[in-house]
Amino acid sequence: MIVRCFAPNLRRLTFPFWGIVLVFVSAVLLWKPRSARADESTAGGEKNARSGGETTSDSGEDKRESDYQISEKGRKFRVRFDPASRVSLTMGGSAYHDGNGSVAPAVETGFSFQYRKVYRTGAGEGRVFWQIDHQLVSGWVRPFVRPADGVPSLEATLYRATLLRHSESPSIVLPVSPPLTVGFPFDVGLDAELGKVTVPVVPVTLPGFEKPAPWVHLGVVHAAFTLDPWRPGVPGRALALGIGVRYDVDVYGAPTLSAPRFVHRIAPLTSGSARFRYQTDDGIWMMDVYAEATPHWTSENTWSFFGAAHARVDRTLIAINDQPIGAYADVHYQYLPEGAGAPALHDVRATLGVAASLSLK
Amino acid sequence: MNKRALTLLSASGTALVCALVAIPARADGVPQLAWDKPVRCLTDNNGKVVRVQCETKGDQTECLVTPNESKYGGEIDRAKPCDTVEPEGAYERLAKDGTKFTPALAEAPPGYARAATGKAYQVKFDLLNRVYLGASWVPTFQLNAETLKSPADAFARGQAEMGIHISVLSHKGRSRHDIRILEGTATFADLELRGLLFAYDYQHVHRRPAFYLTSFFGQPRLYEVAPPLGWGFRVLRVADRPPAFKNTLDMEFAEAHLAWNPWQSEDMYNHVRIQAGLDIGKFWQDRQELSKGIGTGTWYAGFNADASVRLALGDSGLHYTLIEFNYSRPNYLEGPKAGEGANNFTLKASYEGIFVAINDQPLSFRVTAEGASREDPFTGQRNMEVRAMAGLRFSFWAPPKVFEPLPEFEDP
Repeated sequence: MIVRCFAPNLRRLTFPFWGIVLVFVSAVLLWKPRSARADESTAGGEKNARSGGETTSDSGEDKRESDYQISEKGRKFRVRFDPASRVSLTMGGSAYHDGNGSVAPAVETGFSFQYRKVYRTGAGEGRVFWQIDHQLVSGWVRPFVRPADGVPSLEATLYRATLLRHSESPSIVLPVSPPLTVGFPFDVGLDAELGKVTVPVVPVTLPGFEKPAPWVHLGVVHAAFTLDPWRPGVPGRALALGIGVRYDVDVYGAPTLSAPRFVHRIAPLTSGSARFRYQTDDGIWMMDVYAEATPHWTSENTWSFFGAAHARVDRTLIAINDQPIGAYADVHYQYLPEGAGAPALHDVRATLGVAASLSLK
Repeated sequence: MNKRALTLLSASGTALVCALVAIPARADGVPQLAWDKPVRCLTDNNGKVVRVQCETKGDQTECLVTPNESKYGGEIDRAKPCDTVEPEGAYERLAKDGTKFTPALAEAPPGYARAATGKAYQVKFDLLNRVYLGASWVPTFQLNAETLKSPADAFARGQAEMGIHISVLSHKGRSRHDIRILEGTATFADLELRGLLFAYDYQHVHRRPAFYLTSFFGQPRLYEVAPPLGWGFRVLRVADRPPAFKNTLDMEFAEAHLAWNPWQSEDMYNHVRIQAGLDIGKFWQDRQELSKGIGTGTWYAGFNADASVRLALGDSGLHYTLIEFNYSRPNYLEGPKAGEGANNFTLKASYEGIFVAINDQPLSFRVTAEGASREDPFTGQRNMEVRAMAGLRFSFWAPPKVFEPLPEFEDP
């Protein structure tokens, strides 16, 4: 059924080709030669050695002595965290645009599983730093706001990975004879997102129907190359400018989701994004700002536009038995394009909440 | 049925009188071997084994001596094994050395005393650990709306009761676990039933922090948090045909609560306890509906709070008092009164005193005063009950109330 919905023009698009290229290049970037793997133990040794004397911490690495302080009674307690390696439960109050020009309140609860792995190889000018952030089965739900056949309004992502490679002396080697090394003043990376489901709070009315019907926005895959001109070389900090591909499917109830209409949306390297991330050395503060603009081709044989932006600030307030509890503020905007005769929507929400976390490092 | 109640009370009274006129077997003024000192077993000049504890004061050695068998033959009841058994001639050598021998009673374990016959008998009782049966006289009055009704049979009300109490003092955990099982009362002739299937309560005197809290405002600071909180739960509590609402049935299926003990003795036997929790159950305005199945009745869930004082007067556990105040507010989840609730209050004070023990099984006298205010959510009517109770309880297997000091810290 999904295949049948593709328009003939769409088949000529080069999405599969660019997708394969993207995956291949990612694999090359991620692949570490054996020598690099062998160096890891050395790098780890260096890391441990550094941890002995340094007072600043690159949160994102494994726990170190400098992550702790000693209380007046002699109890060791944690004062630095890796905010990207934790399992979190969130609970908050949300205000959202209800589609009629008004703002409505809602209770919002969420879950996230994140893990950051940092690899370092080399030293001095030859130092290379890989940061890989994994996010699994994460999202939020408004349990008492149910626009779709009893399904609550929600957003959930099956898997998201953010990779970033930092080199102290970045360069590109051109394979000419003799090989030519050209300076390349960017960190490089990859953003990939698989299986994102959004149940927007506002139902839509399709032509031929009288009542509004629920719908689902399904982000099948989104992948983008990123370049970071800022190059901070510190975990959790990046300014990633990306270009990539996106494949989404909108599922409209006609009139219910058991009798759906599909609109497929493909962005053939036309998805542009920018992401700014910052966290303090101790991991107490964290900020994540993201914006994306995606012109794309639809199965209705038209170009359309998808846009998204969000900003989030996290602050760890307390810790109980070294497990952090913090507050967060999150502002989220999505421009969901027209499809199947339904008009475009502005999905806006702002959330203030509390997150209780279990540190994985 | 009233005759039956009177019969039961008269039987209890007879037992009381018999107990009071029995010949006491105390051995006042007779010295006794100490439980916590070693016992030597020697053979005396008559060839009989005796238990001896000696003490030297200056040049004089004085020994307490008691036979190593009971007056009626056989081993001495609840005596320690001999720490040393010395060869024949040892007793003679002691005598030759000028040792003074004083006849004495054998040692008795903590919580027990020793009669002149050699029989050990229990003198301290832990009433938190027992199986009990009881019978009481329960005059009951009720105030319906405006008037205090005193039914003709208000003074002819009897009650039978039973229950199992278990209380475990954990030295390692510096905590106490209180369990009540199959507790119930039945009045006659109106057959008011109250029952409890299982209840558990936990209290502690922990000295280690339960958890550590770090704050990240300014310089990180660590705080030790040791909340003095206990907890507990109940499973299936039934109140059938209370006097104020004779046709109703209340079945609380489950309850859970947090508790705070503002004061508790070191062994946690005595305490002041305040607790608050939530419960869920069913209420039958017409208890006859239950015959159509458990699916009838109205579901409720609500808040309840208790404040209680548990006090044993003296170390022996012979006098036991309990004062309880309870507030509950069931909120009805279905039916015509869905979303509405009722406010119920109960205040109860009781005293129990052991006056005799038969073969170490204590018989106690118990008096209680109880007031209850209950609201019928369906009619809005508020009724009051006042009841008094005087009766006897026979307790089985109550161990001696003995307290060994707790360790300084609980196990981590």
